[in-house]
Amino acid sequence: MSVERYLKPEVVRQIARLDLRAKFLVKGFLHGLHASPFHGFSVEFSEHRRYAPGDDPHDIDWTVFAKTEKYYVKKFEAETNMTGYIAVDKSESMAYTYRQDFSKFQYAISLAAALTYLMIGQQDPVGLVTFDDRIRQSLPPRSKRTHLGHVLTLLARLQPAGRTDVAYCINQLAAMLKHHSLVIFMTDLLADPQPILSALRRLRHGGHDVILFHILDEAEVYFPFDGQMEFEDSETGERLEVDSSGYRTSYRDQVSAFRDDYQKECLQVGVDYVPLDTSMAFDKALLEYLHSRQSRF
Amino acid sequence: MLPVEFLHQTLLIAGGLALSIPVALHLLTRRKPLRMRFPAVRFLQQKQAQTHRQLQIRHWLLLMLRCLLLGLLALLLSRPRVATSASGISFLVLVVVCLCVAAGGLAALLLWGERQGRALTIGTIAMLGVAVLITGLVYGFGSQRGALWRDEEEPVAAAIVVDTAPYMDYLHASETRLQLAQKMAAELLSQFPAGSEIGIVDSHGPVGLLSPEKGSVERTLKGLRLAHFARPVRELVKHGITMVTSSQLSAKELYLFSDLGSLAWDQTNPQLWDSVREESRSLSIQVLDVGIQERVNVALNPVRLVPEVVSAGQTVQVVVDVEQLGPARDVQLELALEQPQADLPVVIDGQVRVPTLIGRDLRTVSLDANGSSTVSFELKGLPQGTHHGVVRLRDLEDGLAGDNLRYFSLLVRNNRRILLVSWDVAARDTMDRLLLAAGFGCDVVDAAQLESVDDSSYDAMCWIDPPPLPPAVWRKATKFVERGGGILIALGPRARPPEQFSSQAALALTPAANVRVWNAVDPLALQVTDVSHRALAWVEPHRSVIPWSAFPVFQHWYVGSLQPDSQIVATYNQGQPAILDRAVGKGHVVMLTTPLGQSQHDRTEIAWNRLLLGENDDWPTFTLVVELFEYLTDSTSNQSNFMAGESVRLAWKNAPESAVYQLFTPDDTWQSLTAENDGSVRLPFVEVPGVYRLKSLLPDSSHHGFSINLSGPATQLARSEPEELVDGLQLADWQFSRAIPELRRNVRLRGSYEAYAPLLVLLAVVLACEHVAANRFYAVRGESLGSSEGISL
Repeated sequence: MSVERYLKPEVVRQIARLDLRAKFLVKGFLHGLHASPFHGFSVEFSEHRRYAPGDDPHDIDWTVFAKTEKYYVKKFEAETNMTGYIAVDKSESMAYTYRQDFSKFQYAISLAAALTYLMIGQQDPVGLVTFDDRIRQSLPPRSKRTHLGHVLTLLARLQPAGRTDVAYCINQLAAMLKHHSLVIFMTDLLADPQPILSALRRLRHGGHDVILFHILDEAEVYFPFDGQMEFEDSETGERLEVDSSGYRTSYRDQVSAFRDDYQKECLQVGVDYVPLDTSMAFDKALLEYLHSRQSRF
Repeated sequence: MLPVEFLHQTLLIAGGLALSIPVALHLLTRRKPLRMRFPAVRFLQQKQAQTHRQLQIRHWLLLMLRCLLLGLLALLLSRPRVATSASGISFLVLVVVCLCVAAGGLAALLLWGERQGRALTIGTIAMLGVAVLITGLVYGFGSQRGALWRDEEEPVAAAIVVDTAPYMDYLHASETRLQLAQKMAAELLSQFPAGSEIGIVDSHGPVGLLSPEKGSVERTLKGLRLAHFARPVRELVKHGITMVTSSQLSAKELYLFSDLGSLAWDQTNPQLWDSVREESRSLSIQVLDVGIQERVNVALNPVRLVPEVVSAGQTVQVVVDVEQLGPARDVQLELALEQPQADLPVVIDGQVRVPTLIGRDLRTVSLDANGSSTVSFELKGLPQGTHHGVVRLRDLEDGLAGDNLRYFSLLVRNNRRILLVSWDVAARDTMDRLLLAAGFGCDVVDAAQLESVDDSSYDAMCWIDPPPLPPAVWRKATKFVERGGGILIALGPRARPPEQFSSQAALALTPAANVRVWNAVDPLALQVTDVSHRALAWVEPHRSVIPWSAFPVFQHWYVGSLQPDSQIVATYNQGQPAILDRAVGKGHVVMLTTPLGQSQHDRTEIAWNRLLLGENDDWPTFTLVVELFEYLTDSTSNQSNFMAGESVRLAWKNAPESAVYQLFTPDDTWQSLTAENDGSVRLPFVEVPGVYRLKSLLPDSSHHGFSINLSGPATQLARSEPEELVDGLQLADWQFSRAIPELRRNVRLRGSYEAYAPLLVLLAVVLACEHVAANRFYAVRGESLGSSEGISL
């Protein structure tokens, strides 16, 4: 799978747009990411550019307008000392796709690529960790632009396999981290929640900032099946014969409760929990998340 | 007992067995669900524990619904008929409602899921609605049909038609068909509701009228005997319909007991049925077949005597056809003849003694399977008188005994004598030779002796070319004919002058007066117009080959109007009478309007014709003349063999008027019988087969008699299928039974309602339920995602 796939022009454009919104990103996203108690985080003016519809009018540089009578917005270059880690779940369950189009894993990779591009663009060092029942691959955090290629190449080579042990991997990652870092998890969380939540608490307790992207397939959310079906668990091989129609409501309730529990628990421990499914465009999902984060800061 | 019966019980049983098929399929080949890899199984596990049992239940519910479908189909095919009593209809309605609710309930339970209680409620209410609809249909249909919707306890007017034809005497399992029919009819009789009016019709016709007294009907039934003369079944059914339709009761039924023998499909009188065809549609008809399929029987057809009347010393052929029904076999056929004894029959001590039968010939006949053979016996040297005999099968026991014996009576008479008077010498010689050759005794007398000759010993006279005769001669001749004699008069050139010839005395005897001579421009030929005349019956088979034109007639007498009791027997081809016949007293006069055997060398007279010239190819005129004399010498009845049911008339020449006879019948009874004024004896209807003997109470008188036999069709065992009978009768509503249980069932369900329509609607409902439930249960579709790609089986 080519690297380019994860950085399609429209994605890059979206990300670049984020890049142009430096202020927003710094004050919103990144600021939010780093959280105000943390130091060593600054923003530096980079250049001006012509105002374009859609830009925030607050960003218009009125001084330049007074001189030139043209609207310019100020472009900022982020400057960070915040180390980020992107942890991608590569277990077998992440390979599932109902439409045979875009698996959860591919969705995670796309999301990871976008975030990596963004963070490197802000000079933040980004590391990459993949895991299933343990951490499998890792790239140390770097902020060079060439690092983006390394990250994407690694992601493109990955094949989802193996069973998941998210809690163990979180603990393992926590042990690896030496400084306060921003840890971004991308996983379907299809495991017992309590160990995972405990591990997250432990991670937070270590002073790390955590974002948890909970990625499910659209079929896993909406359960569109009908009639008598036999489902086989991708990882455990366990089989279950059910009348899908009769199970739909119950299933949806279960999924909803599962997400709500995570939402609630994550809120308590200060973890950003972002529920996603593959029917949502990941860039929109990211933006929505950023908007919601912006509203909180 | 349930008020329901099934026309095809085997289908119901087969359907019941077929119910095991879906169960077996369910157990053995359960449909595998679609299999799919799915990571989020953990979210299903919690509910799975509680719904697994429900899933199993739904499997069984669907199975039950399908079993119900199959069972209903079997029920439908078995054609249930529900008794139309209140209990029967209530039962039908109850079954329909239960089945509807069961089907709806099952379907609702199957759909139990997202809308649970609502589905159950809607399903049950819908099924109840359907049940009400079907019930309404049942009642509505019933009330429209009216006649079909009556209570089974409602009194009925019923005709029990029992075919008592001789073939019903066929013995099988120690029981004749008639006995079986009586037994079944008695069973039937016991099941008629109180107040019913019942009548019996047998092969003689109606036996009494409709009667509400079961006891008297039962006695009538037990008293039924074989009818030796049987009417066709169609006629009996007609009598039955007429009898039943005369009743005031609204429910009308007819039961026909027959073994469907040959008389059952007799169609000889198609108009017979027309008058009752409409009435037949308003009543329920049951055909009860008491016959059996495989029959074994050897049958003798009625005997044929060739000739029927013989002269003393003449040989007679006794011909009989033997028919075999069943496998090939050899049978012995015996001809026996009574030894005539002058004093027999006689009654001694109240017992009738008749002459004993003496075997005259015995033949072994080999019969092929279902084949036939013709056997001819020869009798000769029989003395004058009436001889009785039988042809019988010896040492044979078969199904039908009535056709193993055939009676015959043979009349042997003295040689017939003809008094020949010819005024033409050539014709006299020709005629003399001809009559002698034909076996007649012939005396030739001169014309002058005619007045004085004693004619009492002659059977007939022959006058060739007579001239005008004295009235005394005509009067004498008239008396001769009145006593039973016959005269053949061939008019010729001497009958001139015509007004003198046809005198008053002559016209008392001749069929018509001769008026003038007809000279034909072209030669004429004889043309027989009345082939039914006994003297000319021989012409019919040879009509196309008799060369009448080879015997031309150039002149003939033109005759005036016919005298009383006269008829034209033959004409010339221009239409003028050629041969006339007149009945005078007991005898006949036959007059030819042209001479016979006329001398062709008579120069004084032009030849009148070329009839009877004694040439070799003269056979048509030779036969004509012989047959005319046969007729004239046999003017009294000579038939002595009759079929059962025919009317018998016996007459003898010179029989005394109003004579008293003793008639001895085959059942060894006797009775006195007075002859008619003409001396003949008449019996309007004689039925019992056998020999009937007439003994004159006058001294020195000969014995007479005749034989009665069963007709061929009456003993014909060939069967028709019930459908043929029904088609022939064009019956609208009929049922067919073979045995008492079947009859009992049909009787119990008479006027019953065939629950076909409501069950069909019910079947459609259950089918729809099954379809919806099964589709819902096994549906495979993506709700919002559409594509089913990625599903692995």
